[in-house]
Amino acid sequence: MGGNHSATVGASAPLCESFAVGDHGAPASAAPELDFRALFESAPDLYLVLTPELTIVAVSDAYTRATMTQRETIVGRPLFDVFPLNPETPGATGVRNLSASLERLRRHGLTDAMPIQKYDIARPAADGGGFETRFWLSTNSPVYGPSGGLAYIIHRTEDVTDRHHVNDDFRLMLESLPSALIMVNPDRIMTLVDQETERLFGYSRQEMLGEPVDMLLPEPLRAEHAAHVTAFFGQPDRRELGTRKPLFGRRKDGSLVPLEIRLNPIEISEGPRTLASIVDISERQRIHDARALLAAIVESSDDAIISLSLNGAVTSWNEGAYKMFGHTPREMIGETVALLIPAHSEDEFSRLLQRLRSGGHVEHLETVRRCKGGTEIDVSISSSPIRDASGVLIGASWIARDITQLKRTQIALQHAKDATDTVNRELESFSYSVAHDLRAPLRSIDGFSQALLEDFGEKIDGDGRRYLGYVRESAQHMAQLIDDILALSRVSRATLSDETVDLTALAHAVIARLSRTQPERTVNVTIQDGISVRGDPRLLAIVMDNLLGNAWKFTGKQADPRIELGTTSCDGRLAYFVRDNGAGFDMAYAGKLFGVFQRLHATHEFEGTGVGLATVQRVVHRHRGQVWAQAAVGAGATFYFTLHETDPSV
Amino acid sequence: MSQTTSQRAILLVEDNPKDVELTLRAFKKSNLSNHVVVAHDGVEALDYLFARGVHANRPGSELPQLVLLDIKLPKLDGLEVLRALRQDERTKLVPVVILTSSLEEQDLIRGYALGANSYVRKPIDFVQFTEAVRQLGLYWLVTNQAPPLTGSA
Repeated sequence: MGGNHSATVGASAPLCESFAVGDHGAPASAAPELDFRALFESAPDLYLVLTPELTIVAVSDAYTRATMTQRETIVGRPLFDVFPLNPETPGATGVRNLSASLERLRRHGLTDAMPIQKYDIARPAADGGGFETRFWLSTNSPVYGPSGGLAYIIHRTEDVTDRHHVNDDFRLMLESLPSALIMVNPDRIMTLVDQETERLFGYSRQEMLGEPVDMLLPEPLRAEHAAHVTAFFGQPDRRELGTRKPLFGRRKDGSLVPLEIRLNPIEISEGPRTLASIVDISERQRIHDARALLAAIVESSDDAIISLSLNGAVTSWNEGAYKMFGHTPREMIGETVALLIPAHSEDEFSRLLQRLRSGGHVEHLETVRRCKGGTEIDVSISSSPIRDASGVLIGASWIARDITQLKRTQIALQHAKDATDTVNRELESFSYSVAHDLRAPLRSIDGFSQALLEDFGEKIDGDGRRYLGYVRESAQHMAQLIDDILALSRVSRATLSDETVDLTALAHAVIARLSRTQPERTVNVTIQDGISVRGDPRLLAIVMDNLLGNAWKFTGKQADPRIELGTTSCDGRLAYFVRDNGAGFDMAYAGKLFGVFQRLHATHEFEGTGVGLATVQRVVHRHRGQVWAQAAVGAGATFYFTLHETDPSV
Repeated sequence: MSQTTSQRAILLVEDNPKDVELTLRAFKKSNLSNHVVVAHDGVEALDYLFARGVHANRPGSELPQLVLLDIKLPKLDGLEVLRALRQDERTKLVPVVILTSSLEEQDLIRGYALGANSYVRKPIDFVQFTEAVRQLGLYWLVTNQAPPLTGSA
């Protein structure tokens, strides 16, 4: 088409004249004059003739029909006046594409095909106005004047709206595919990417189109990739990548994603292309990894893990099963588990099959199983049904644990417990005897000493009476020791109850009792309100008795005695405390404080048996708490205790 | 209080002779003039109460005004004695005070459950012991109204 120099130069010359004065050299008389105008205007295709300035100079009837225009109203007018851009379609590429096409046309002097153009046509007001969406495939052909300059442009257009809709459908199909699609040309430039590609790699379409595909590869792979692409185009062949060894893509954020890629060589109008269909296999990889992990766990388990079909045949047999029963997987797979059932309980196999087919769960069934050599072992079996994907019962899994050793230990433990119970019963009757039998002689010692004093007092001199007094004191002291030891042993033996205990009320009761025994004393007592704990009320009463009793006792020589019960926080733990401003003690001996019969004060200073704090400690320990003290000689003492700590160690 | 009721016997069930002597001494010091009968074990206690065995010649209708019962006794222990006399129509109302060394909770519970009227722990200190016996005597022999002589209700 190009290179026709017959047209008269003159941008504004009417086209009809150009045709009329055509100098093809054909004699005008040789043939009847052809009406080129009529021929042009009635051509079945859509033609528009433009000046280089894009003014419309001629148009075919087909064109005016297709564009819903009238020849008279468009000829002589600039193209974009007649076909304005649809204001509702911002970013329309029509003008850009057209000027690009004309630029190419000028440069190469050749007919230039424009890409398919979406161009909205203004509907006449009579037809309701507005725009109608059409797709156009246009070519621009140059018509040169005699001087070689561009005289006209023939703009041929084809309405491909219907064809384009088909393309749209394909595009939609493409976009809905689960795999990412990338088309690459031999220069490794991406010429097509889809939505899934954007999602997978995190780049937008604009960022990828026209760029080398290298951007989607991990750095180390980029160098060799060019060679691969060249090789592929040299020997195009469908192939799959990433199926055997892991292959990774690189996302915009730099992270790597495992991929499987299928390459298809295709030939399109622009030349050979490679269509890469890319699947993100990270989920598959995760499942695979999880499966491998589970398999490794099963294999490394000391428990026997077996799966069975519904007829009791072994379908899998792990290392633990081999170690436990001695049969190798090769020996067992396909065999029924009847092999494992001891000869004396053959009917167990039918019961087992019944259970298997009922699809039930079994937890920790203790039974006996036979090993390869005939040895029998105690096992605990848990079994769960196995169902296929559609939920149909197909078998069961068995996890068997060898509890032979456990059984032995249990029996030994039971023996030990029985022995302990016997000892405890003996201890109980012992302490009962202590209570009764050891006190009786003491009563006689005290009673008859008193009788001596009463009946024969005149015959005994002062020293003698003093000695008898010591005899009585010692007897009474020993009775107190016995009582305290019994209380301590009761604390250890007692079954612990778990109730809400009002420590505040307990403390008030103890103080009231102490005040009654020594009504002459005035002690400033502060008891925090509402201290409520969980524990054994009787044992906690012993704690209050002892701690407040001690505080009462050791403030006995204090001019302004003060006793306080309260709560405080110690290293984040709630601690209860009893504080006094009494005699206190040297912290150097704090370690001895809670030992039985340990006393930090001489009897002539403060009486006591040295069992009280040992009892307190035992009660606190039984409540999983700790007890400790802080004191200084002459500056009082504070006893702290906690209850229900998670760590029972002290 | 009529003179006759206060003069009915007290049955002291106690196996330890020294404790017996101390108890009698305490009674005397407390000016309690009742006749005290001593049984040295559980069997003898029941023999006395039911006028049988060594006490077969005793008029069975004369029940003691008060039984002081130790728990730990040879042959039959105090709690078994208590059960036996509470089960018998003749003796089921007789006031029984358990006088013992034991402070075991189990003994307290079982003693009361079997129908003891009181539970007293013997103090070691003889002065306190005497005081306890004096209070006991005063209450059970003087203040308290004894049940009718015929034990049956």
